[in-house]
Amino acid sequence: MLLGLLGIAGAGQVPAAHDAAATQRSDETTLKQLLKERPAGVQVRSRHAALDRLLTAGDPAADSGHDKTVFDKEYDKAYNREIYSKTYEKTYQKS
Amino acid sequence: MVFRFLLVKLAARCNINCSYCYWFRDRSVYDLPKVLAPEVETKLLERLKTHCSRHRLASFCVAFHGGEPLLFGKARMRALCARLAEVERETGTRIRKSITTNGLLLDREWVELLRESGTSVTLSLDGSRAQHDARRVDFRGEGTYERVVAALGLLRTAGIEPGILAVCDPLGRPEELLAAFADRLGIREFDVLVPDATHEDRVPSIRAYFTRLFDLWLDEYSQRGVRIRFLDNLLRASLGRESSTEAIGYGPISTLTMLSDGSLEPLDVLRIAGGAAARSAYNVLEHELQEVQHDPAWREAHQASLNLCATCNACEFHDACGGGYLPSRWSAARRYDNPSVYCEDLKGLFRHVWQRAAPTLYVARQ
Repeated sequence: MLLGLLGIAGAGQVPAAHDAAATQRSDETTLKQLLKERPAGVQVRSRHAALDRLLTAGDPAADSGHDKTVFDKEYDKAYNREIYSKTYEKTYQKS
Repeated sequence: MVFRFLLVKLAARCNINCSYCYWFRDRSVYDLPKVLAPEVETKLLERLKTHCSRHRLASFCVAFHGGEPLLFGKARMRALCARLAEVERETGTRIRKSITTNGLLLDREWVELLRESGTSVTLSLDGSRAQHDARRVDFRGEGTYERVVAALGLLRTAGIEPGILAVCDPLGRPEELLAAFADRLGIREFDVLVPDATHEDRVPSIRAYFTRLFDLWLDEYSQRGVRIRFLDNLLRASLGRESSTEAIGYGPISTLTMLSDGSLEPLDVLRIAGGAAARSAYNVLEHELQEVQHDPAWREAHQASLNLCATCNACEFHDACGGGYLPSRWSAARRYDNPSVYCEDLKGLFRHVWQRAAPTLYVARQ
């Protein structure tokens, strides 16, 4: 069942909006399954830049602090500084 | 589970009087030493050394917390950081340090100390001046916004960009918070925390607030590089990724807390359930850090974080939500055997996040 979605886009290819919408309508359950199981060779991506960054960034380090009252800069260094900051700098350099 | 993260209550008191503070809801915290007892500090360092060596840890995170941790004082903080550096040298374990502060006591000397010791800083700020001063007041009832913003300026002067923590005001306007943080103060990463509450509290719905916050972030602020950790985690959990905090997502609680008298406890926010939910018989003066896992209160909290109630087990958002934040599941009658007090709101949020995210998703070959 999962194989049915594999042909939608190759690496680096972003499908047209109507393709993605059709995918979502036709097999949302499969999409959820792919997100959960993360099978080798395929990856769920997003046409929204911020969501795509979340989908392609790694998971937090196993030894990072998980308390909600603490920002873990180790995690941020790998995750936020290298991903979000680029967008931020780009935006604010322009303004 | 080997502990890799310790919340150290450097002070059991605070210099301000926030209306929603979880810590002082349990009045028994006033029985604790005002600041970390010197003999506890010495023993903690000894225990930490043993812990890091025994478990051959590559890194260990110590989070300085309170009350207000800066009440600990500069001299003792400087000495503590030096002693932690010794532990680091002797064990080969990297000791990462962070501090969560209201910022009022920060001056140049403090900032330099934090910078030199490599301590990450998290600052509490609740949005605009009006939003902040409505709830984060000193003991004279005066707002603290100006002083916190001054502290932010001092940190930035030293090259420290702190993480910012705000607590959601469910009846407030997310637009105002976003404008205050991202537009006026240039803050690019922050968290908006769900107010701490149990089933013993009457809580306003958080759904409308966070739905609006999410839409504003997704449609505008995310594209400007702004990160809101709660939304990040809501999305990550919805999209099958791991959350970076215990506030959301299925998984065991891993926070270990040490009070100023050396008592070892699970999650400190469990204090909102009253001391009985968190209090253990274990103390760093007599026990190794890892031993607290034998304590009934710790075991109950840990097992509850993995064994959700029947409602959660039947829920489509089981994995993404994980029952919500553990303290929010507490009731006097059923203890942790409940969904979150925010259950309906969280379900609504997960549905909304999926509805907004799903149309943008596609499958790619790697």
